[in-house]
Amino acid sequence: MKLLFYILVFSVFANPGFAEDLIPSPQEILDRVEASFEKIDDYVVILEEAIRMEGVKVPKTKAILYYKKPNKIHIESKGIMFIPKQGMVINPSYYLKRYFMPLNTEEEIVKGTKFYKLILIPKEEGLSKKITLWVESKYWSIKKIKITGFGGGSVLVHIEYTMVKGKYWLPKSTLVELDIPAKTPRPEIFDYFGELDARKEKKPSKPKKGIVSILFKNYKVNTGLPDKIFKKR
Amino acid sequence: MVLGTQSLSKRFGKNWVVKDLNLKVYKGDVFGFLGPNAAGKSTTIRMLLGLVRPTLGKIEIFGYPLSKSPKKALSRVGGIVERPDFYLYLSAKKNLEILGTLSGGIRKERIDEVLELVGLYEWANDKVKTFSHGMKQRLGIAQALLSNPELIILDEPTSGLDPQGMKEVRELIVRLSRERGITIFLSSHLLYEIEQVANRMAIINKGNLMVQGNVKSLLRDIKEIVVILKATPLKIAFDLLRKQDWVSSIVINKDSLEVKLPYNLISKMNAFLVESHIEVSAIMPKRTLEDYFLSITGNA
Amino acid sequence: MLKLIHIENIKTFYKWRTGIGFLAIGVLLPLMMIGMKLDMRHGPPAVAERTVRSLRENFFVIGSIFNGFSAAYFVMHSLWVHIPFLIALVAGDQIAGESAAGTFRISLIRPVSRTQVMTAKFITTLIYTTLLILFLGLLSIGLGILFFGRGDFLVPRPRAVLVLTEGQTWLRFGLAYILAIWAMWTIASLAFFLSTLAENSLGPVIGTMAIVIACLIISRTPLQLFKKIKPFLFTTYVDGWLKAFQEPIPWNEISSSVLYLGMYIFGFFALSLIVFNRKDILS
Repeated sequence: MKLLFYILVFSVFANPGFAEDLIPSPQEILDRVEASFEKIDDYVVILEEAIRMEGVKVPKTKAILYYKKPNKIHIESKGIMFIPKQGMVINPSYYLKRYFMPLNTEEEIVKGTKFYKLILIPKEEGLSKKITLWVESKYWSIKKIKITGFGGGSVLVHIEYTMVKGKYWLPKSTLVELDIPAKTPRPEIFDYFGELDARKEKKPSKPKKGIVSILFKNYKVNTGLPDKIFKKR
Repeated sequence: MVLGTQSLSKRFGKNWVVKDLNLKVYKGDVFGFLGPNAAGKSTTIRMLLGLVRPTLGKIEIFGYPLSKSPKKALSRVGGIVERPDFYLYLSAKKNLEILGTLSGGIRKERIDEVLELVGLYEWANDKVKTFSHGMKQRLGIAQALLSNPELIILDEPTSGLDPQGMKEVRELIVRLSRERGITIFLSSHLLYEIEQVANRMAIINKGNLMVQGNVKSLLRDIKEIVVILKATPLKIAFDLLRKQDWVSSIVINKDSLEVKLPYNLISKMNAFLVESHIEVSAIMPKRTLEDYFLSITGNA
Repeated sequence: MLKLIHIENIKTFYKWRTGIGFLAIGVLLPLMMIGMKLDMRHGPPAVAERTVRSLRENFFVIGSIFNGFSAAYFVMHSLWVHIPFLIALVAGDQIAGESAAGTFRISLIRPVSRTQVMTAKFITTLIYTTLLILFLGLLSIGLGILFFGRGDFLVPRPRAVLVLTEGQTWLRFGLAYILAIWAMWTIASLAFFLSTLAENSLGPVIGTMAIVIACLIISRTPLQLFKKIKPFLFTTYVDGWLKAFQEPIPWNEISSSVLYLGMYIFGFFALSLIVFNRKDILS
């Protein structure tokens, strides 16, 4: 009997899926996400952005993004580019660990791929109220982000990755779905004749819904970027 | 007939400035159009040149009615209306080039010819604002001659000129008529000026046509005439003449006498003075329009 | 007719007053650019900031939101009230100037119809207007690019964000200036018509500005009576060039503006012909 018990225990522990069957803690997941970025000291990448949003008509734009560990970023564009603040996943772990406290972790299987779903809340007042991360377990990369709570709006970010030079797992594209709430109108203004001045009347702005897609192309990784690049305006 | 008007009339507001004017100008005429100031001369000339629309009546030039075929009517006409005004900021040559284009196109050589003719070739490239009044007047004649006209209409062409300038303009008019056969219609308020150049004339007063016809015939009807007499010794000539009953009146000036006598007794006066051993150096008729008006209207 | 237009061009462009407009623009524009450059030491102009303010909450704004095209747009916006004066200065002188100078007494006795003369003068007026606006455009864009560079153009708008690529911007400015020229042809036609009524050019210039300002006041005053009059005023349509920077381009509205202004241009010209053909040259 005792022997049967030990065999059963061993088989459980010897099962290669056992460690994986155990859901890591949020901190462990974030550590692994951060570790996957450790190999990257710097990179240069070309961004191609397209925006489809009500009230915003912007042509497809290109820019060059420079990144240097841990948090230096410089973006250059000949044109005008609007980059969603919540949508750029440069080194999320640095940002997330400093500003958001992981709450709990769930496991999800989507199309055969296991994801760890983390729910984070901000450490400071005034920041986005809740962030939900979906982290895939093979490369420990963040595949999806949902941010809610800022002024009633929400942002959903989908990230695809690619292997660069056979060793760096970096974003290939992001798709940001924005849902920005309407703004409250200003008070009405009357002119000298007591007539409502139609030119100054503020109607409530429409809620802005839109999609921003960004492609990342032609990565140059760990080329030794000088700091002076990041001092340019 | 080169130029003819039929019942030509013009009204400004309630004021008729030209009334029922019937003029006839024939080829080769130097036609004098006389009248005192504000008689309607300028208005008539402006109507003849298409600057003013007649209220009533017709104008025909070279057989073309001016109102219906102005281009054909004016194609062989040159003119000056009062003081000629040019584009002062342009040169004389440039002004004539512009006017030549408006005339349907003029050869560049023709511009040089007319400038030469009026004695302005040397100043061709000078801006007109640097020109004297006399030079502008000559340039005015030049532009009138630009398109080789067969009829030239001149409104007071000697106005503002000094005596030498007046003489030059009169000589030019005579030369144009005799040498080139150009018909000339000119207005003036000076009878003696018209008398020197014109063969036919019309007189207008307060918009009405007074007389029209051959100059010599019209002026011959004057019974009495005032002559300027230059003689030596002047005082003795004065004393002798004032005693003659065939002298209506006599005035002594510094170096001449003004003697009013019947037109046909001028030669008698000359003979009388010579017989009296008076040296006669000049006898010149002094005719004024006013005198002529008085004589034809019989007003004292 | 080409020859007549040629001589009218000579008469117009040799006059010193024709150069006033070009001189004024040539002096004013560099000053405006220098002023804007100095102001930009403290950041982009407020007009550009206002446009992107609503986006800055959720977006990083990368690139220059104020460049040479922005400066040219700003210049166009600022000067469109003053340009009519420079146009009236020449257009109002076309007939009245010659009346005052007495030159009609040697030009109109030629075998050329008054209609032909007037048409040539009118075309010359339009040529001057076109050259003045083109000069404004080329100088403002040229100096703008020199001072502020080029690139995408952020169209200043209160409630929407519109960014045009450089290629699109050139086309839009081209359209805007064509519409501006058409609008200024209307002003020129008005001054031209008033010139036929006067014996000196001061009257038509003042008259044109008085009419333009009065119409603008009526257009902008929100009284019921004025709102009924507004659609019939040409000043309602003179800022149609702004529509070149809308997205999508409101071709229907632009066509309406062009049509209404075209009617005014034709109407003023027709009136000018009628008045001048009947006019007695008494000066």
